Amino acid sequence: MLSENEQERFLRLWADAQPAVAAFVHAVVRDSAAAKDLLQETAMVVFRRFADYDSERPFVAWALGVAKLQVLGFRRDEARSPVTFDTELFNQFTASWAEQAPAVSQQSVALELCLERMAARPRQILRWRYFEDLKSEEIASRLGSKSAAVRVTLQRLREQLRACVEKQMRLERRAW
Amino acid sequence: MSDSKDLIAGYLDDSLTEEERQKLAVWLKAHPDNLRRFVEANLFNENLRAAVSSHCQREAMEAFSPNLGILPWLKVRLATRMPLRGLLASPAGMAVAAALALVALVLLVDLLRPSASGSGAVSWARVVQTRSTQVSASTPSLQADRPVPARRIGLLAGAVELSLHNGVTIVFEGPGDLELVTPMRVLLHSGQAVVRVPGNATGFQLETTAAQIVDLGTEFGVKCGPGGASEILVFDGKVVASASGKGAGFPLQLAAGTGTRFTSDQPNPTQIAYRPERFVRRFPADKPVELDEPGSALFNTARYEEVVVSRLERSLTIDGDLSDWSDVHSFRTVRNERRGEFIEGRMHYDEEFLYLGAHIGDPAPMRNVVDPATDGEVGWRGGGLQMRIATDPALGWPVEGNAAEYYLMRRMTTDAAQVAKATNSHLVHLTMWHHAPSAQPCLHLAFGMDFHSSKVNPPGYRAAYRKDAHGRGYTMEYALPWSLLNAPRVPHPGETLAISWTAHWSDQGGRLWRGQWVEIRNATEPRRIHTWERAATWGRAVFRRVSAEAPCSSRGVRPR
Repeated sequence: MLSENEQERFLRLWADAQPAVAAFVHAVVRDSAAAKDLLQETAMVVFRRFADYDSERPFVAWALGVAKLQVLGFRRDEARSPVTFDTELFNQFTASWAEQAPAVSQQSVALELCLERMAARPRQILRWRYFEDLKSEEIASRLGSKSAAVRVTLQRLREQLRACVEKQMRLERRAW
Repeated sequence: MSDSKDLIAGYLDDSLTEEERQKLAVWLKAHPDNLRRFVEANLFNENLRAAVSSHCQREAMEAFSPNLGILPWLKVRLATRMPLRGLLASPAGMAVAAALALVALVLLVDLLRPSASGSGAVSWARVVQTRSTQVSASTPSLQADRPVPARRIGLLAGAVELSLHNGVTIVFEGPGDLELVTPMRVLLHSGQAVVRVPGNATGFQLETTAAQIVDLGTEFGVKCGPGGASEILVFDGKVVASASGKGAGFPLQLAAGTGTRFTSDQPNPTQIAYRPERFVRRFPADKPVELDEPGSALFNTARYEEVVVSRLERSLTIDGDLSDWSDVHSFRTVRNERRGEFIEGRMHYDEEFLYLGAHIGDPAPMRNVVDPATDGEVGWRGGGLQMRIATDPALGWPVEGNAAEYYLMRRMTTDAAQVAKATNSHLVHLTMWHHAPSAQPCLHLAFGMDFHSSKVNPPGYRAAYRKDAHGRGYTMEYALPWSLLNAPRVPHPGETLAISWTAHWSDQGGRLWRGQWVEIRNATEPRRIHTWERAATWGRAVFRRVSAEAPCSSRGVRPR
């Protein structure tokens, strides 16, 4: 059982790491409900095993390691393969995620600003995809278009937003 | 689909075929840079998901413009520490604590999910102290002498003092939403804040939707109210402020002792009264333990589902004395026996008025300092009573109609019929409080679950308050004209209107909300839904002709 101080320390570390872990789980599972369940299970395991955590290592990397095992278990239990990677590739994917996640989290403010500046129609398409979790086929039927065209549009929107975010972050760095 | 860009896009859109998945795996293994690029694309995609969700929620809230929804978030946690030391003292206690910690952890997975712009603690900002704070679902708990746990702080109630590493101090008062962008720039999305800036941080900026304020070494307060209107009071020194957005105007210098109001649709600000008491500038040095402990959770199990509203046979005097009211159908519920917090209520009606009388047990009675002229939409914050009522008998019971927040938190979209129900002007929200500085009984009205057409102290109603002789409670009486409540007609005996009461308690200063109790509530509705977000949660007011009614054991109400 963790002492009160340890519990508080855990909560602080988990609060910091949780967004990166949640994003990781969703990115590999590709199913919001399953991702939520897996995140809960991951949190429980991370809490139970917190005494094993080596504080010399980044907490987020350790927590991602736990999440990775949960995802592998999920794939086995569900007899499905949302990820095509073999174990070695998945390990590399997880390590790369742990390395890049902290830097990418800095994009959030710029990303919101860029979204604000978007026209209504592309914003609606993003809303359908990312807020309502619609597949490109469903979006296409709403637009009276084809799913391939929707996929192209989504890809262009992501590229535009990335360019906007990079520009915005350059400006902020200069201003600061 | 052939090249790597298309394969990544296909993965992100969940549209890869099995063959394409295999191709993607081969490509990823071909070079470490490929994997790096793939991870980067996924990270951006997940960030985008969070940002779009956050954006959609904000957009929908702005579209509905709620200005009375007291707590714009659904889930809350108390910003207090659990008394763990005592619990951990025994093995059994440790087992219980472990189980509780695991349960809490599962909840935290949801609750600690920061907004898109708010991931991680802010290393350059620290929580100095908190008072009766309740944070939103997306905000981790605020603990004194700890770094601010997220860049964006949603505060449902209470106040928090923050200190930035450059010496800037911010007292942020809920309900509201504050975003710490850099040590020199803060966004106040809603709520109010007082900022003290030392000389070395001159140039500090605070922005709202309607105004940008640049500090010139000073202390100032800003309220970002309904519709984004921003009011600035300069307590000391000077600031430079300008309207932002479409109505951007020339920067103006505002001096100490002035009040200025900016709205998002007008470039020119207007002068407002300088009333520094509207803001919490400093926390009281001494903390009255009894009153400052956080109230209770936002959700309670109501004791009553129904209240009988009997027709008056003789006139009532509105004087703060309930002795001339019939108590046949009165109801009583206790929130906290030890602190003496309870509600005793009764209702009557006649052709002209709906009458509401209450005796409220309150250790800090009638101290509300929320000014009806400037902050009426948050009159509940300093203690008082809210009543929500559907004034059209044709609406029946339960009444349909949900606030924007109800749909947003469930990621549901609305159709025209749902919006029409939500904006029905026969759904009326009343906030009643005693404004201590002017000794004035106040009334704030808003209509529909979008809280439109709000009015403060409109002509026509009569009200009176009287403090208990022992000073630990008060009596209130209101005569509310049916016309003011937008009722199409007076209910007939036997008809039912949807209704609900919420009593609010504050701190001793009559400024910081400490808790509430909801009474007369639909027992079939889940407990963790606010009455301000869903009209179906309201209980029943059954209208009776007094002569036809005999007192019964339940005294006219149905205890649950």
